[in-house]
Amino acid sequence: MSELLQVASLLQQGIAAARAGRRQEARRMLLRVLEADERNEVAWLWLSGVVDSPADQRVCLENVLTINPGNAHAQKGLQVLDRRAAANASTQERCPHCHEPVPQAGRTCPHCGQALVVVCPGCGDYVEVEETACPHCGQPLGDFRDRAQYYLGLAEAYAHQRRNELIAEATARAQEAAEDDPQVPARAGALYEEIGDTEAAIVAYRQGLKRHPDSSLLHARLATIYDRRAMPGEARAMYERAVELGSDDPAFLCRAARFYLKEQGDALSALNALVRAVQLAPDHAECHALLGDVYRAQGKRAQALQHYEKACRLTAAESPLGQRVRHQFSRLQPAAAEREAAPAGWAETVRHVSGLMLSPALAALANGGLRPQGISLGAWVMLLVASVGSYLWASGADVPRNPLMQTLFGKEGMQDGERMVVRATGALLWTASLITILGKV
Amino acid sequence: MATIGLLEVLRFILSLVSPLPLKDDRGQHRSFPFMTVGLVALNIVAFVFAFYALPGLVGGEEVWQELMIHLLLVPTDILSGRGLGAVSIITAAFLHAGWLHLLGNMLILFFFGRKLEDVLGPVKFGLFYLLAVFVAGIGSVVGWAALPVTQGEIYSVGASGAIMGVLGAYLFMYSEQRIHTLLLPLPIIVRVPVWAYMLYNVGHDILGGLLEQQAQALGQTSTGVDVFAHLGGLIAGLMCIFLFLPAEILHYRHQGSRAVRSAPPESFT
Repeated sequence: MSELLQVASLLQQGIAAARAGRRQEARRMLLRVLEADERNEVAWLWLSGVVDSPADQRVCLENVLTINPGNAHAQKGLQVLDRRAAANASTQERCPHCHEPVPQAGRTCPHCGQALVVVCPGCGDYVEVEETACPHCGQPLGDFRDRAQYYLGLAEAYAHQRRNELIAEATARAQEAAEDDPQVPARAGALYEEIGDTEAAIVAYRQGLKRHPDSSLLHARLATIYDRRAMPGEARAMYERAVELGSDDPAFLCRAARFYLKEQGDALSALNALVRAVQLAPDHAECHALLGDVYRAQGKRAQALQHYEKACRLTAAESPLGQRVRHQFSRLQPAAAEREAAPAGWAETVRHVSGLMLSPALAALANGGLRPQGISLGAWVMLLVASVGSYLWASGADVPRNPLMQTLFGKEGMQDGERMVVRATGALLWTASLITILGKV
Repeated sequence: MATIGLLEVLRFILSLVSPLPLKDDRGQHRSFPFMTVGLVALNIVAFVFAFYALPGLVGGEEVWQELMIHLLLVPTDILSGRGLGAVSIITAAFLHAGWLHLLGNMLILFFFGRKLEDVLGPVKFGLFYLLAVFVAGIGSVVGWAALPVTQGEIYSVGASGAIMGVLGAYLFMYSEQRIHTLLLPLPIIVRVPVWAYMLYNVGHDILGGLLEQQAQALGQTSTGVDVFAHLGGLIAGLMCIFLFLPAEILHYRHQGSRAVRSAPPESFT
């Protein structure tokens, strides 16, 4: 009971305020009434008189008719509103985005904030946003309903026509229009890079990263800029994040690999990036060339040769990359071919060792009067030394991957330095033993 | 007697000309023949030193002759373990009896040696040459020691045995080649197959050996050529080059011969 009295009291106060011209107070009172009693016909009727916009008036009057379809005042009010709307529609523009009426001279819609006119990139005149081409110069503008793509297209056209001062607004509208698409800030940044405004590009990429922290594309773009600006710390962070997020651009992965190799000497990170790049693009010549470089740096000649060979097949001989890989291939090929083709069996080893052993053996035989029993014990010992020396020489020179050497050095066999040492030791032992035999030990 | 006469006639015919190899039909050499040039230089230096400088250094002809005997290859010394032994095989291979002996050997060594060095490389060619020296020397010892009259009491000198080894290796490698040969003293150059050139040399040596055997049976000696060293060296060249060749060359030769054998006979096509 008391609640009803309270509502009635508020209603009286609201009506009194409306009559007195105190529209805000009246609106407040009447809204409190409607909060307590949303089907209060009188409150809705008086509220329609104190709201500002015709749309709100229409809502209030329609609510009255919903509660009481026979309310004559509401019916009359709606008729007035319809007449007024019909009269306004013939003379007032509407926003193409939200369809609300907009002032004729306005550049931006007061309701949705979208652009009502744009500057033509060709002639610089203002053009209605609904136009797909400038009516003055014919410059294609695109369809505004594409939103982000439309504004990006405008920005690119401004850049092409060197109206750089208009790019910022266009790119900003594009990013607003497509907040969930990382390609938009990436394109905006690329546009700034094209016109040489690297700072603006960095800003665009960074702003994009705020909305899209997991975009490998934006990280990749920033990495490239930092790399170019010789900022290795920042570049490495961006490269790592881009690769970690799974960049699918082989060219970028090659750039990352080159950065890791050149600036950081980090062959492992380079290898990871390049392996992924080759998976994405098996016929990417630069990837294979860089893989060849990495494997060559690691001493894996056979694998380096394989990738250099592939890069040779994918590049023209006259191109800088083609010349580089062919040069590297020819440097590696003799050694690699020699190592790959080098026989590995005991038969081959025995063949080479026999050739070396015959001279000391015949010398010992000659000193023994051409009788084996005439060969002294010292000569036999020296022949044993000569056989070891012959084996080491043959292993270093001719059969580097014989079974014993594979056991000692692995399937890959000896590296170049190790082969030299083995060969030198063999030569020393063989020569010393021959000299000793000749000296009639 | 008739046999000896026939052999003498044959040897006379073969001695009418001395075939001097000038070049073969193979292409340019891959690299400078360091070892071949080094061996030629060593032979020349050794000859000049031994015959012109050494007599003055050792203080007289008699001492020099005594020293030179030790440096020459004497089969009986080898068999009895006297003298320098294996060292004398090497020293004898770098000494020559005269300028003509030296010049003839060095020309042949330079011609065939550089071609072999192209294949083997300088180090392996040097090792092969050393082996040919030993085999030729031991062949000389065995051959001369087996003869009845001299029982090896001769002195052998010269690089001919090792050079025959080089020739034998060349024959093994390039049996299909033809050699442009100057038939001294005639100003005629003929293009002969390498096997024909070798046949001439081997025939000359065999004839010399047979004649020496016959002469010694009659209590005489006939030839100044160490034919057994020549034959020993030739055997070394033909049989031992196999031990020094790179694997890919052996493989190529094997594949080539297999390809020929596997080609279908024309009568079935």
